[in-house]
Amino acid sequence: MSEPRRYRSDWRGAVQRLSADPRSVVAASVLLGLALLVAVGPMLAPHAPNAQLDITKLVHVPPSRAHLLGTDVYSRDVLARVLSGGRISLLFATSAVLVQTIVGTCVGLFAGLAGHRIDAIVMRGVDAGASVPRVLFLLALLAPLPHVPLWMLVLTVAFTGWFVTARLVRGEVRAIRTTEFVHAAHALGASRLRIAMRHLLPHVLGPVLVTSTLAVGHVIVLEAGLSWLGVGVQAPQASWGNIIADGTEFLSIAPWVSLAPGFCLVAVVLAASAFGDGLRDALAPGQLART
Amino acid sequence: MNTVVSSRPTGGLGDGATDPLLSVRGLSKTFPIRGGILNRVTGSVRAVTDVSFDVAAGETLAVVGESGCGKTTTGRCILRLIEPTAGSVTFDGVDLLSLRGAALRAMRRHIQLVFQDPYASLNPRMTIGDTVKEGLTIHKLAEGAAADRRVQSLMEEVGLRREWATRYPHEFSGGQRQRVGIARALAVEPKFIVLDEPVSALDVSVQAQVINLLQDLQRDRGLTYLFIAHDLGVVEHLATRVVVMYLGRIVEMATADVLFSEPIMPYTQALLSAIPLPDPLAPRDRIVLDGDPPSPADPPSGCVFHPRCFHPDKDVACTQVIPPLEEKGPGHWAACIKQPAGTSDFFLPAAALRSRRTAVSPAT
Amino acid sequence: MHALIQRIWHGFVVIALVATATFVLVRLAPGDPFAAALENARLTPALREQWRAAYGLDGSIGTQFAHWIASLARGDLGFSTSTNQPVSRAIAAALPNTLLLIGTSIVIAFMLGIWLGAVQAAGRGGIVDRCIGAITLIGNAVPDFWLALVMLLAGSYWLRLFPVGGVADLLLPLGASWPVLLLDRARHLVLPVLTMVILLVAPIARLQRTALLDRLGAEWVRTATAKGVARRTVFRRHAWRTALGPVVTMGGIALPSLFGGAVFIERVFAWPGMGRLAAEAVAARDYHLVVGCVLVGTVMVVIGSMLADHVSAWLDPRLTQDGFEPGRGLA
Repeated sequence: MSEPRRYRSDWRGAVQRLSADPRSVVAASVLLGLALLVAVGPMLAPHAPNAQLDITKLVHVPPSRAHLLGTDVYSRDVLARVLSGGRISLLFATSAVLVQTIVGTCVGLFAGLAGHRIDAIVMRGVDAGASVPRVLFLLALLAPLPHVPLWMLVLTVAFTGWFVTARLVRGEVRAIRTTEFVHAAHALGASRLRIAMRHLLPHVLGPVLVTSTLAVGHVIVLEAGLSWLGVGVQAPQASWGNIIADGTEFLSIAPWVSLAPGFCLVAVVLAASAFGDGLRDALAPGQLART
Repeated sequence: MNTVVSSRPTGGLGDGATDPLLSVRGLSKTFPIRGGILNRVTGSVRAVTDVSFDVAAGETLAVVGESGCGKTTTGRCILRLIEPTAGSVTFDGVDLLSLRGAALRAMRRHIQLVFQDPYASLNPRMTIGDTVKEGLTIHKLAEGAAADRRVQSLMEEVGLRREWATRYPHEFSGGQRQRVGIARALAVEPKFIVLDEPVSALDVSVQAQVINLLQDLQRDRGLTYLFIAHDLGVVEHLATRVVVMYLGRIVEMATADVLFSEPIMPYTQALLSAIPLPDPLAPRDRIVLDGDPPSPADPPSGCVFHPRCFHPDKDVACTQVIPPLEEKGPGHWAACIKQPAGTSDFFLPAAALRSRRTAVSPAT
Repeated sequence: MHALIQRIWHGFVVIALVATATFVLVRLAPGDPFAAALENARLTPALREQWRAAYGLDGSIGTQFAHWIASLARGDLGFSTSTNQPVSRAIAAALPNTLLLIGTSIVIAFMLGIWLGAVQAAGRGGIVDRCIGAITLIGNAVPDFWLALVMLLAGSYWLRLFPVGGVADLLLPLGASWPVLLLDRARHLVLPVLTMVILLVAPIARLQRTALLDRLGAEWVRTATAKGVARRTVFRRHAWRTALGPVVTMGGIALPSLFGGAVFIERVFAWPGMGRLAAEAVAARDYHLVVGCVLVGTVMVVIGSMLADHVSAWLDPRLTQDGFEPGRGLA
């Protein structure tokens, strides 16, 4: 009998391909670097983020040795604010994405395994949710209660974002459900729960991981936008969004206040997208791998 | 106009002394066709109609027919992977169709299935060791190191190296994957295995190896097989009894010796004549059937085979009466109103067929 | 035909669900909808009761819901306390500006994006491909409101080429000729549209590139080339049409985010559209107006997606199959 060819196993192979891809490595380093920076930065920064240093003399100081990113209208050090806001923004984005991924996966699994009728009903609801412009949806949800605690804000944002994941998971589950190896597990006597956990979920995990990584970029921008409008993270707590808001009024005279957090946002989204693309390539090699 | 004559329950070998291991009566499966705006049911496909047979312990019952004749559906109905629309399935004295939930899952241990497609029937993300082990875990037959040892011995039993347990399906050939499927079925120590065209997707050279393996396993473990195939040649040396299906119905049933030497039904004769012979120069009397296989959504009236039948006595009655499955000879059942019961006479083309087959040495 | 009916039914169900959801939201909102008006001392309790009866707030949930649906069918979306007019009128005044903005951006972005994607596909791997690729990568990553601010900064403050905001110059003499008026309108349109176009072009160009490369490698294209058809003709006649399909589909999927982006862009450029209206309504606690905007926005999205679906199915029938993935999907 012939010796079967040696291939790497699925997940290990994916990790190997990922670490061999320069784009993904750079992106991951950027993300980790940023995370580290915002984790320890605020403690190492020379100024406190909310401290008004000198309201008479240090308002709108352009970037200089003393203040690397300048100061804002309340004479607060912008760098310190950006670092502190970064913590909030990154934490917010990761937790919201975590919640929306879990919710979306559960709903998607449920709809995927259910009969035609229930599936149709659930998917109509999902379609409806996905059709509402997310920003408008959030405005409607947040309008009556502007000063919600942060965790509730996270949940609200997550609530508007699980639809895409649900659709994705449901599609994958429905496709895999009719494959022979699922029938085989059924014939062996596996319970539905076991089939879902052992056979369906591992197949679904890959695409879900990719979508979630990309979603981090979207959500961080979304939170920034909401904070900029005034319905997101509230003052005095800094978030990249409301720092930009602070600088909007004075855009022509002190552009650094609004520009700095924006560049940070761009960096995070770029890194998240690049890493997500790299993940996608690593998990499905040979499938339309276009650089 | 159709006159429906219900078929009598058919028996097994006529032995009567021991109860059959599996007993199927009146099994039917109809699939609805959906269409239209609200996905309404616009028609139905009669995949399996009124199928009855017994399988005695230790024997191999072959179910043969062309694609779409309902043989795979029958197999899956027996396992309740598909729910039958009507009929009964009794296994080892237990009514399978009445079981639910945990009881049904527990029963699955005793009847297993080997799938046709070795590529699709193994989870590409599980090692073959885990695939084989899954049955042990589900039915709590072994755990941890003991389970691993069982997996290893099973793999060796089907002809795979035990080290390969950590590899993935895509690293193996079709024949090897099919062996994995067989090992998986054996893991739970079933009494009965439904083999759904287990060699159809394999190269001819590998087919013989797998069939030999199946024979050895049957002998060593005392298994009972339901072997589904579309090619009579494959089951020639494996089957004890053969059932021939056409468009969802059984048209002939007999012991293998009798069926291969003295087939009654025109369709069976056509199937036999299609078996390839090793000597390309040997004179052949191929029976080529006219027309195309009919659609199971719109079957012909009366005898479903009548549009393609070459029986010399074929007449209008064939289009009106659905022939019952009757015992034409000892242990030999056929569904044809033109063949007299009680005899195993057959008409000329088959006689020529028989003489040719006995003249040529059988292929191994 | 049958597919069209299914799509319309689907869209209708979606809108019905959203209408129900907004009803629930409005009812759940803490406080009386007339709380903002409470400050008005002239609002006697008797008058307030009259208003409440007029809005059906005194009935059971069932009758309130029926009332809600009936008024929606009439086009009555309630009363906007912040702008002192019926919500429908406020939105009707604002919606065309948003549609103008989004419509113009879509047209330009599609043409530009498809062309860029094709250029990239044609010169695959080359310097042009990489440059455009880098630009689209950044375009995908930049936040909409921030890009608008940057555009404003660069275009209005630094370059002083474009007005700071608004739809038209209110100080133009009334008798000015129509080319002058048109030019003025165009000048005001440039920055907002440019912002939206940059945001849209990125995903379109990327998807177009992927879809074209996917199809150019497809069997049937290679067969045509093998038959002796010139490469350009192959490109133009065969690959082009089917590659447009996924791009159009993507457009349909991206519609909600366009309306979301409009909120920010309109705010930055003081563009009097529905997005800005919604943002201001939130600040003013004008809940009926917010909900009205959400509803109208969703209806626009549903109509737009149906159109996109239809067009893309016409372009590439394969897209109607379940599970068919044209190129790789977008984020």
